[in-house]
Amino acid sequence: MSRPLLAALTFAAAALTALPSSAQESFKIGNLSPLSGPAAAFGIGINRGIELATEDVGTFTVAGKQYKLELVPYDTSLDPGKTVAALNRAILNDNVKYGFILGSGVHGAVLPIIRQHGFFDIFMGAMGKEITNPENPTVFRFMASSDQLYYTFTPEIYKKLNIKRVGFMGPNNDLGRADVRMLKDVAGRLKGQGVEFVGEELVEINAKDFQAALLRLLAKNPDAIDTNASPTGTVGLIAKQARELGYKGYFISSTAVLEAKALVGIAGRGADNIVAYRIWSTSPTKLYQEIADRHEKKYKEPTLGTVWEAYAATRWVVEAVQKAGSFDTKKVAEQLAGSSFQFHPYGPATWGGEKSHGIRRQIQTPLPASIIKDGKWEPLEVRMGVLE
Amino acid sequence: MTLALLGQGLAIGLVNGALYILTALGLTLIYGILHIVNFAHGEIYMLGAMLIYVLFVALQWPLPLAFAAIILLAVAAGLAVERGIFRGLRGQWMQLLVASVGISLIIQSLSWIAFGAQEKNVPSVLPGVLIIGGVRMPLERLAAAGVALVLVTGLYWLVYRTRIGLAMRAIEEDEETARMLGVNSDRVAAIAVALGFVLAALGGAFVAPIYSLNPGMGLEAILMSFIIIIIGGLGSITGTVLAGLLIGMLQSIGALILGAEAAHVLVFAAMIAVLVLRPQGLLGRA
Repeated sequence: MSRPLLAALTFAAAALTALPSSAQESFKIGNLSPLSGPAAAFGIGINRGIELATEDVGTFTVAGKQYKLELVPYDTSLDPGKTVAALNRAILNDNVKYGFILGSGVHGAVLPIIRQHGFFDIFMGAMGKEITNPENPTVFRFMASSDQLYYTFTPEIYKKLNIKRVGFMGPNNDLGRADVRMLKDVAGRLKGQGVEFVGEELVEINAKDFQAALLRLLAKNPDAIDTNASPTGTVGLIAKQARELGYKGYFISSTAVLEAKALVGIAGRGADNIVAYRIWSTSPTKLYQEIADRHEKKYKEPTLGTVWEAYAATRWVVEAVQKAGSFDTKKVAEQLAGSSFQFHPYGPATWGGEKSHGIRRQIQTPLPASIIKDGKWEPLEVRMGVLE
Repeated sequence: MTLALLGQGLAIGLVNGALYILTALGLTLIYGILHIVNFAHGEIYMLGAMLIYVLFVALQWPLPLAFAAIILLAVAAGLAVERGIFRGLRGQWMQLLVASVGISLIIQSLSWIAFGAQEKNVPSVLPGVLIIGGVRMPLERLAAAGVALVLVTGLYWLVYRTRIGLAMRAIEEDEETARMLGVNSDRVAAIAVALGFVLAALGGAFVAPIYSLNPGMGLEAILMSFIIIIIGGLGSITGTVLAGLLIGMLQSIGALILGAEAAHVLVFAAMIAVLVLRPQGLLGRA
């Protein structure tokens, strides 16, 4: 082969190899979540949901250019200070405009930054209109809100399980305080049905010993203890220690996606009668099962609770970006708010909250409630209403 | 408040106090003998808990063998840290402080990689609850409290009734004079650090079935340990016992009467009150 021909072929090969990478850019999605500590399973689940969605999305086109997804993880440990630092790093250093931010307890600290930079917050957390409201147009809650669950689900659960006396044990932070306010309000509305709020205990978020606090609460004979706003490890410890003190009632966790295996590992049989609102004991859709199978194959463990919502959120946001034809977060927000989505593992998804939160930023999907019996989730046949 | 409720509150306070003592004992010993504020104490406690998970749960070693391995590893780590880091810095409190913070951060960072972020749990080998007069106490907590009692007694005997204990106290008083009188201070310091590490690791290992575990658990442990040794008096074994029980009671009865939030504040208020009224701690020397 002559030298000029060899050079030409080498040049052509180099050009062909270089072409896809130069034509394909990254669409960065941050994950600002706890990747360590008691709530780590939530953040790791989001990472995996994004990774699985990335496999399905592949490359996509926005305004004639090809893009692929790139996950940029930041460990916040569910700490407001660390989340602020992570968000500043994401926006200012890493040029990340879109990201999951987990935890309503950290949002008080990050909302001013989100507003200032128009950061697109794929919000995974509870509370209600304190976070999703007209002042924060780029914040979309991709999981059920506290008010959605408390007001539309809780009355049905209480009726089904004949719960009359309810107490609260949760973290001493914004989320815990907001949830206990909501629970008191719900109990007040159900007063006619004999429901009574009997007491609350707010504990430090990293606490592991609840015996002393439980003692006071259990003295008020609750039928159910609402453990909302606490991660799996904490709920398991509360259940274990309450059972040791002789408590036989229910634990209800509205917003946190709990892992049955971990709960049973910590509390043993004491985990029975833990009720959780966002756990599917049987697959609601074919896609849900497919994701569970892929997760198990890829990560060699059962699917973490946040995987499905993170998967759906990633795909839905990419779809909105494509339809908006732009990465401008305000344009994408407008596009997303007016859309519905068929590829949510829970079933068809749309947006609500216009009346309750003043803006359509609250996801609406079918949602179940489940209860642990003999160490496994079983369906609790109740229906959730719609948040207007 | 009923008498039964108060009895239950007192029982919780006593047992939790014993668990705090178990956690703080190693920190007290190292400070008492060598005047080193060992920030790595919480990480050794965490490693003790994690190792019992790895050896007993994951690898299914017999429990006594797992404990023996933890003690041996803690001795080795204590001797290595004393020889490699503490010895060269003895007498330089600021450098020692920074070094121990560094050790703590290194251990914690490596532990996140080694053990992962997910919470782990050790199944109880003593399930069940002891009920006396309506007061309920889980057996695993009572067992850990019993271990705390044995360790306190053993440590007290070692420090106040043996030749090595005499040498430790001599170093604490005046290292130079102790050396002149023939005390091998390097050897005694190595023993004290190794013993402190063993106590920390055992503390973690014995509370492992009671709580869930993650590589960040040492932080909570060291915070409470510091509160206890400050209230009790830095380096005082008796003071640590007194403060541990006091904090356990304060938290338990405080939570019962005023609620969990107020009880948490009470602990810090007690520490500040002691610092203001008796800066050397309840049983510390001025």
